[in-house]
Amino acid sequence: MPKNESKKSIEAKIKSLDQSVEWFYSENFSLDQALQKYQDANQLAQEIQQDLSALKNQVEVIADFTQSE
Amino acid sequence: MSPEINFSVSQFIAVCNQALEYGFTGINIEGEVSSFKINQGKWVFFDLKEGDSTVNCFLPLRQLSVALQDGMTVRVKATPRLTRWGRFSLTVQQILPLGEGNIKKSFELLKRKLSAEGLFDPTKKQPLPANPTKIGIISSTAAAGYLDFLKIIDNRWGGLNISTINTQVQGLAAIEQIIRALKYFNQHHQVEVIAILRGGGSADDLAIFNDEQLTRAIAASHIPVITGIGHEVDESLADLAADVRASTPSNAAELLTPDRRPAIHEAKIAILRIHDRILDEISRRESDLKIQLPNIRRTILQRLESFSEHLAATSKVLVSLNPENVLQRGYAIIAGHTADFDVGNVVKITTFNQQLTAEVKHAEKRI
Repeated sequence: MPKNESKKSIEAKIKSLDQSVEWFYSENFSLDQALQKYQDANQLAQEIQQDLSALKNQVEVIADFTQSE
Repeated sequence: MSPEINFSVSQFIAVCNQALEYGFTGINIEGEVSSFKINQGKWVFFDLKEGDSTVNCFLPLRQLSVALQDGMTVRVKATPRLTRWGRFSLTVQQILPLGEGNIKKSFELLKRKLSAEGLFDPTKKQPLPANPTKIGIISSTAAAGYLDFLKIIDNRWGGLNISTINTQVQGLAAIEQIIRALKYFNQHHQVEVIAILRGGGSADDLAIFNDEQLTRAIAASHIPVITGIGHEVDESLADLAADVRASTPSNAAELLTPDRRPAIHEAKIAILRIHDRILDEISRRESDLKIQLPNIRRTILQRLESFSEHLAATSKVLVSLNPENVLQRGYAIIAGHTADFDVGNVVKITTFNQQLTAEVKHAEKRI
C-alpha cells in the first residue's frame, strides 16, 4: 500500500533524524564528521517537512446500513 | 355487494395478523410502562398506557436492551399481533426510554447490571494503536460530528485509509445498524481501530447509546473501539464499554492521530539543535585555545631561555679551548709526528707571536 509505505517512511525518517541529533550530543561527536552529518540531517528534515505537508487521507464509505431496512 | 368470506378461527387470526403486519410494519409507539414483569426468566410483559388507553406488550427477555420500571415513558418499535387466544398485543423489537429522567433511571439500572458483569472493567480495555493507518468509522455521513472528525483528522495527519459505514445515529433503527457495522468490521479485519461518532443532541437523541445490546456489542469488539458521542458531559453506556471514550468526535480525531504540525516544527528544531551544537563545540574549542595560548607562549620562552643559557656555557668552553689563548699564556705548539722528534730532526715551533724552525738536539722519554 503506497500510502502506508509513505507513512512508514516518514516515521523512519523522523527516527533517523532523532538518531542524528543524538549523535551530535553523544561522545562519538567529532567536528571532522559533523559537517557531513549536518548536511544529511538537514536534507532529512526538509524531506520530513515536505512529506508531512503533502500527505492526504483516503476516505471511503464502504457500506450504507441505513438503506437495508 | 362484496362476496361473503368464511374463515375458521385460526384462519381468521392468521389473516388478521397478515393485515396487521402489512399495515403496521416498523411502527413506533410511545407510552408509559405499567405492570412490568418477567415470567419464567424468559418472557417480558408490560402494558403501554396513555390516559385510559392501554396496549399489552411482549418480548423475549434476551431482546430487552434497556432497564425498565413501571412509570417510565418509552418508545417501542413493535409489530401488532392477535394471539391465538384472541388477545391483541404488541411484539416488541426495541425499546427506548424517553425523557431525561427516564433515560437517567434506565441508564443507572443498566449500568449497575452491566458493571456487575464486568463489561466496563478497566483491565479489559484494549489500547488504541499508536499510529493507526486504517480507521473504521461508524456514523451518519451527513452528521456534523462525522464531518468535524474528518476535518480535524485531515489537519492533523495524512496517509490514512478511513473506511466509513453509514448508519443512523439516533432512533431505534440506529441500534441494529451500529451493531451490524461493529460486526462487519470485526469480521473483515480491515481496520485497526473503530470510531463510533455522533455529534451533540438531546438526551432522547443520544438514548440509543445506552442500549444494552449495543453496549454489549462494543464491549465484545476484538478491534479497539473509541467513542466520540455528543459532548463532554454526555456519558453513555456505549462510552463506558468502549476502550477509549473521546469527549467529542473532534476529540476522537485528536486521540487517534499525531499532529503533523508539531512534527514539522520538531524537524526544524532538530536542525537548529544540531546547528547550535556545532557552534557550541567550535566556541568551546576556541575558548580552550585562548586558555592554552599563554601557556604555549610561556613554554616557548622558557625553552628559548634555557637554550640561550646552554649556548653561553658552550661558548665559554669553546673560548677556553681556543689554541691562541693557550699560546697567549706562554705555551708553544710544536708541529710534527712523534717520530719526527728524533735527534737531528727539524721541527716547527709556534709561539704567541713567533713562528720558529728548530733542530732537535736531545730527546729522551719522559713518561
